[in-house]
Amino acid sequence: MTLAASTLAVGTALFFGLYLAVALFVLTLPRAEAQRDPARPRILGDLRFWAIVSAGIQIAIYLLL
Amino acid sequence: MRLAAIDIAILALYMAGMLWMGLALTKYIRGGKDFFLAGKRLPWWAIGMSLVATDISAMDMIGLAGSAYVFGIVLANFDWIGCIPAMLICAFVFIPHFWTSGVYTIPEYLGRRYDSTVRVIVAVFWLLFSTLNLGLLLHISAVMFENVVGSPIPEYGRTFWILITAAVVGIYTYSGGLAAVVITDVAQFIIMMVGAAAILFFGLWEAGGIGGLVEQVEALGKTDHFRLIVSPATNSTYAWPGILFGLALVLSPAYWIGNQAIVQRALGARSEYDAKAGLVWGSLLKILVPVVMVFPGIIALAIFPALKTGDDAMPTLIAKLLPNGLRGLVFAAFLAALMSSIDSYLNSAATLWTKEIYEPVIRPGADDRHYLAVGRAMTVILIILGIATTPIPARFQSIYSYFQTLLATFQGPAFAIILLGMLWPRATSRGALAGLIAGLAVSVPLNFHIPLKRLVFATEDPFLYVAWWSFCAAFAATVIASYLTESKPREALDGLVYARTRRSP
Repeated sequence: MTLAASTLAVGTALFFGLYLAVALFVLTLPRAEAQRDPARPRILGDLRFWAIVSAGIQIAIYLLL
Repeated sequence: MRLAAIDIAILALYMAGMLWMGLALTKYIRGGKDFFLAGKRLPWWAIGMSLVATDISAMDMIGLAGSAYVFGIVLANFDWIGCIPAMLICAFVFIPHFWTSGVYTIPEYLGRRYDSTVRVIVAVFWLLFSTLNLGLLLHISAVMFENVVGSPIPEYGRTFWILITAAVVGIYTYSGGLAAVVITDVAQFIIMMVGAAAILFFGLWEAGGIGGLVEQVEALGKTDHFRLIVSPATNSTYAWPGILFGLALVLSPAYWIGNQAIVQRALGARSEYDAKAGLVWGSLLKILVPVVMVFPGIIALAIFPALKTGDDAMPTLIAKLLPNGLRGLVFAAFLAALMSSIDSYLNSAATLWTKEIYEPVIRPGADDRHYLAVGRAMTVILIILGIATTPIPARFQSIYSYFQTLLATFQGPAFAIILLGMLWPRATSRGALAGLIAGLAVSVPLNFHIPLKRLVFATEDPFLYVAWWSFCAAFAATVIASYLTESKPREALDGLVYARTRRSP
C-alpha cells in the first residue's frame, strides 16, 4: 500500500468515524431529550429519528462516492 | 451576458415581492422581543429553510461551482461533513443551553458564563465581522447587477446598485426585524433551489445525463474529480486533513454554534422543540445543496473544458444553456442568496449592538420600545457602514479568500472559548481572555503575514489549517490559564454548562 493510499484510508475512516460518533451520540440521548412533537406519529415526531436519517444518508453518500 | 426584457421584469417582480413580504410583517413589531427574536413565534420549517438560505450566498453559488470545476466534488464536503454533524450536535447539545438560559445573543451567554469583558470583546469582533461581511455582500451584488443588467448611470454603475440593494434589504429588515428576515429567507430559499435545479437540469441534459458527464470528465483525465476524500500528498487546499480538522471540527461548529446570525433564528423559535427541529430539518436540506450547486461546476467542465477560470463556470452555464425568462429566475436566485445573507447579518449585528453594548454599557434599564428604536436606528447605521466598507473586498485577490480570511481569523479562538465554557465547568474568565489573545496571536500573523504563511504551509490558501491551529492555541491557553485562576462557584454555573443544565422534559 502506498503512502498516499494509506493516508486516504485513514482519512476515510475518520470521516466515517465522525458521522458514526454523531449518530451514536444521538442514539444515546434519553427519550425525553428528543422533545417529541405530540401532534405527530410516534417515530416521525421524534427528532432523534430524523437526526439518524440525516447522518445515515451522509454515510450512504460517502460509501457510494 | 445581458438579460432580456422578460428577465428584467421577473427580477423587478422579485425585488418588489421581497419588499412587500418584509413590510407586511411590520404590524407585528411592538417591542424589542418582536424585532430581535420575532416575538419567539418562529416555526421549525421556517427556521430550517432560513438557516440554509443564510448559509448560502451568491458567493457560494459561483464559488462552489467554480472550485468544483477545478477540484471536483471534494467541494461537496463543505456542505456535507462541513455542516451536517455540527448542525446535529448544535441541535441536541447547544440549543438546550441557549434556550434554558433565555439569552438573545452568543456574547450574552459568554457574559453570563465568563464576564462582561469577554462579552464585549466577542460582541465587538462579531460587529466588525458582520459589518465587513455586509460590505462584501453588497459589493458582490453590485458587481453582478452591473455585469448582467447594466446601469442607468454608467459612470456610477456599481454605486447605483449597491444603494438599490441596500435600500431594499434595509427597508424590510428595518420594518419587520427577524420575522421579516426569516420569512423572506424562506421565499428566497425556494427561489434559490428552483434556479439552481434549473441549471442542473439543463446542464445534465446537455452533458448526456450522469453517464455522459462521468465519461466526458474522465476523458479529460480528471479522474480525481469524483473523489470526496483527497490525499494530503496532492497539496490541495481541500485535502482531507484540512477538511476534517479545519472545517468539520473547527470552522463548521464555530459557524453553526457560535455565529449570531445563525443562532438567533433558533432563539426566535416558538418552542425548544421547534429550535431543535429547525436545525435537524436544515441538516436534511443541506444534503441537497451540493447536488444543485457543486455538480454544475463539473457539468461545466464536461461541456466547456477550456474556461479561463473556474469562477466562469456558473455564468457560462447560465448564458449558454438557459432560455430567456429562466435566466431572470436564476439571476433572482443569485440575488435571493445574497439578500438572505445580507438581511441576516444586518439584523444580527443590530441585535448585538443593542443587546450587548448599548443596553448593558450605555443605557441600562430603559423600556422595551426604546431598545426597539435603537435596534432600528442601528439597522440604518449598519447598512451605511456596510456601504462604506464595500471598497475593501476589491483590494483582495479573490472575494472567496477575503471571506475565508475573515472567518478563519476569529472563528477558531471564539469557538474554543464557547466550547470550553459550555462543556468544562473549570473554565474561567481569565482563561477565556487568554484563549482569545493566544488564538488571535496565531491566526492574525498566519492569515495576514504572507511570507510567514508561505513558510509554514505548503498550500496557497491555508485558511482551514489556520482555523485549526488558532483553535488549538486558544484551547490550550484557556485550559492553562483557567487552572491558574479561580473558577466560579458551581451554583453560579447552573444552566450555563452542560453538566449543570436541566434536561428537556
